[in-house]
Amino acid sequence: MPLHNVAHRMNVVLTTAFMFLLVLVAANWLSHFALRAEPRLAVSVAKVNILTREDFLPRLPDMSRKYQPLRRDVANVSLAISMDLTPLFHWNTKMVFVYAYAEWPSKNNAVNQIVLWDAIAQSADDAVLEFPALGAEYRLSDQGFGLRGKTLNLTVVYNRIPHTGPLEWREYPMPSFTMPADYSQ
Amino acid sequence: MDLKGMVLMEWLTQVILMAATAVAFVAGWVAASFAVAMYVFGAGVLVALAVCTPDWGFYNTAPKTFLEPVSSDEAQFNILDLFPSEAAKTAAEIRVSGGEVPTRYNGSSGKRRKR
Repeated sequence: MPLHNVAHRMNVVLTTAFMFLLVLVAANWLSHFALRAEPRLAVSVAKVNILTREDFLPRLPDMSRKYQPLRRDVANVSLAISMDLTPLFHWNTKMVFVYAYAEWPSKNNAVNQIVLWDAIAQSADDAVLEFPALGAEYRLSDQGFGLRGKTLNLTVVYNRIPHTGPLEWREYPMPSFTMPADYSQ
Repeated sequence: MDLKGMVLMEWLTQVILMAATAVAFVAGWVAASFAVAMYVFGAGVLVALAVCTPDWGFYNTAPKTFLEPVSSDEAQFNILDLFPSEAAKTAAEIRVSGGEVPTRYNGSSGKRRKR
């Protein structure tokens, strides 16, 4: 189309600019292959604080199917966390999401998994996490009364969200821990 | 803009935006921030718009010249001037038969016939 008025000329400039923007974004993604590095992650259970059982009927006039009685073991743990995520932060990283989950088999389920703790790091300044004994955000709970004396596997996962390109996540197995043999209260 | 100016304008958009992409990539790599790369590229787009969108003087170095406008009376054509070889042959036949050779064809005059 000839360029005899301002509208046509602006169309040409902006379309070409958009094409070069795509080139810039693709170059950003390709550059991350040269900038990848491994972080250091270490999570373990410092202490199992409380292990109890919950066994009560909710006090409601309407005993409909929705309100089943809660019959489960519940535990509260403290985690020792030592992480250095700074190698993951380069110019193609938007944020890093890291979480730790516990895994164990039970009588009714082959595998039970519960996330115990998660954190978001938005820049390299928030990327160093050192907690000798941090109370976990979420409680460990079983479907039933099977947590006493159980050995649970701990795994920590990081999930790096880039500006351009596919998501990247990796799992690291951590030392397993054992629940106490009896309830604490 | 004349035709040379249009070609120049298109070349300038490509070159300015290519340079903006390269500078933005280097700036973002050095600053370790994708936001910096986007800002530098945005500045390059604004430079390209400023240079290539308005009709600057350097786009008009070879303007297309048109003929002077003429009135419809002057714009008649003479068919004897348009086909001189045919006119010469017909003039020769007229001279042989003893007639007068006309200088204009007095039939249709080359103007559009009014309906």
